[in-house]
Amino acid sequence: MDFEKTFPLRYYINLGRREDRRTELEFHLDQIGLTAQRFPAIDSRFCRNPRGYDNKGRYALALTIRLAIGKAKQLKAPALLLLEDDAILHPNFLELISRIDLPDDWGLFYLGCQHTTRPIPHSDGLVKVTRALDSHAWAIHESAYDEVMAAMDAYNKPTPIHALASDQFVAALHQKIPTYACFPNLAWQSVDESDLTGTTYSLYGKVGAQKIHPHIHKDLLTECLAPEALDKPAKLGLLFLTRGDVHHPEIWQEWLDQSPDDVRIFTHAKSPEDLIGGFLEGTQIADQHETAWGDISLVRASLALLKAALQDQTLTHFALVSESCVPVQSLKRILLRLTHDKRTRFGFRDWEKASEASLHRSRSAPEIPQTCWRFHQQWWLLDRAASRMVTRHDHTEKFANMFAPDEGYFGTVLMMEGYPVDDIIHDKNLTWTHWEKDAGSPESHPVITSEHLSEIINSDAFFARKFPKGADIRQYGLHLK
Amino acid sequence: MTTPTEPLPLLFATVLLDPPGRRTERQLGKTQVSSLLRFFFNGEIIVWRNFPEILYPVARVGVHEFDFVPGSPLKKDANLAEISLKAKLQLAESLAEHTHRYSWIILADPDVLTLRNLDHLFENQDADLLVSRQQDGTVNEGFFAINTSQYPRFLKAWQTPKALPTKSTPNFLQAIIDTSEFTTRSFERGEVVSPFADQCPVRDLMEAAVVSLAGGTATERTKLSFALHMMRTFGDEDGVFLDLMES
Repeated sequence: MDFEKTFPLRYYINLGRREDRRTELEFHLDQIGLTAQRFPAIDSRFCRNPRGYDNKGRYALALTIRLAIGKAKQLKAPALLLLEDDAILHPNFLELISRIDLPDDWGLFYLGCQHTTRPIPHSDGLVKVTRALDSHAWAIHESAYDEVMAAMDAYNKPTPIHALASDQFVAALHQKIPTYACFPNLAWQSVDESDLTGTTYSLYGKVGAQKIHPHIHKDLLTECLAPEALDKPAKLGLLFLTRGDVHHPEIWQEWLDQSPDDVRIFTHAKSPEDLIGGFLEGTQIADQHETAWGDISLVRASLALLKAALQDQTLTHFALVSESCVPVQSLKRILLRLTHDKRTRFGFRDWEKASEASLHRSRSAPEIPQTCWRFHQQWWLLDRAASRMVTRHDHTEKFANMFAPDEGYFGTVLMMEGYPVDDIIHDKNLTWTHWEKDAGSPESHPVITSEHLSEIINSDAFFARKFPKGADIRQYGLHLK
Repeated sequence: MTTPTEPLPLLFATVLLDPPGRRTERQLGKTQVSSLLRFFFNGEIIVWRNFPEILYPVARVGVHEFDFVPGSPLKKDANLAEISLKAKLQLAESLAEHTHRYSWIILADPDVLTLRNLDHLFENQDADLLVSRQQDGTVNEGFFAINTSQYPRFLKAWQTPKALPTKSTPNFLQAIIDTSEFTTRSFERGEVVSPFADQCPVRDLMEAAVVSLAGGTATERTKLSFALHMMRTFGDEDGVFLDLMES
């Protein structure tokens, strides 16, 4: 979609007295690279009565929207995009919206909304709305101007069964006017004091996921991106990014034997010849990359593993591990957890909480929007929807000059692709590691101390590293419990 | 329906006339200009004053002060309203050749001050004149703006006898609007208030962008103007300013 061409008339609604919001929104739009004209909001202080709405504030908003539509009609605008001044647009908005293909029959279009009945997946990034609420970022096609204006004129009309608010009146049209919405949301509302209710809240998560009616949007992302994984019991793709074979083949074999049909192994070994006769023999993928420590090649190899594993339609989750990893929970337990808590899992930090070292590294990738950065361990567990999202566009060139891009690529690209990372990912490390202060790499554990053993058990991690050949970790049998 | 482009700046102009021995308009004018600067007014400010004491010994960027000598010396009992109106027209005439650099020319009496940035009142406006109306519908001639595309026409209308205040239309701006064909729009409701003329609620006064103190006595206007400006500039919830005064 050519956003500016599709929506040549773009207004943001703002009360004169909310200079704070005006300033913030204009700055926000400028950062994203978008422009919108201010459309003065009617102040409820000057409304005599609510004229068919719950209160004067709701009536004032509805009146403002109707005036904006009236202006669009007067200007003969083919569509009107309306933002409220507490709207937040996705930091990678322009790229994501450019990929959306809005059907010709559209009448209403939400950049973000709250679905109150389950929408129908339509195309990449787009769902067909069956009923949704909110009006912080939406568009009206010229063919729908009159119907929307009429629906919002509530004065002297029979009282409807829904709440008397403008978005509710518009929602009543969703079955009649073809209505679409970005999914995941590309716009949401900031946590701020509402001019309508006087309370401070947002019905959206930090990066736009809908908070209310969780049953309505449960697994919707999977239905959109990976319908083959819907309602399936967990089946794990184990992605080994290694130099050679694993250090503890006995542990892995005992672990695998617990449910051999529910795991499939894929390997990208720097020295494939070392796999011969080993645990990983026969699992090497065809797409091979010359890898180097701290280099983008590690990301490319990981992506190759993920893409190869995605070919198997039965796999629901994918975990990246190394040769020095060992499982520290039984396979049965991990599968049970993934069946009932399907979330993608890795611990991450955003820009504001990132370490100085991470921030320093990120400067080598200036094309990445700052608020998209998510820094994390190299080792992750992705569900099938996240895997699809992170592999659908190759962003590796943007990270090519960065040191250790594998500790940021996957979380950051998920954000850039519109995945609501902060709202739906289980923010916990998949793999336990121990770092000595200022060390360049994690500590190796030929002999595990009781302190570290206790840490592993309490960490709830699925895997732990680094365990060299001959390490004593097997004797504790964590992989069987 | 085009995407917004960087708008031309605004021009704000005022005339300060103090009879000998008085400083009312100097104080009002200084408060007015300070309030504009405080809230990052996007434009230039022209001040005509009939007294030698400049407002800002340290020059402010975008503020241009000019000495002004009325046709005849101001006496203590002079009819200031009449002299002020003539001076305002003279000021408006002097701006004619510069209007192409600006989007709107704002003409304001000294007793008008801003409580926050007012640029938004002029954005995406397609009217010829922007005015504020009092509750009885009368336009406030102490604060209005002319679209520079219509400035020569407006000036011409102002220069004709039709614009002279009469008993039935004592307000020159109302007379111009009534006798000429200008597209006139009111400023956004609630953004310009006149507490003396309209007795607006305190909350409306606090929320407004522009306050016009027309209708108050000289003392009321200077005190309230100063109070509102100090409230917005130094007002703090912790009372630090008062503590500073005490130290």
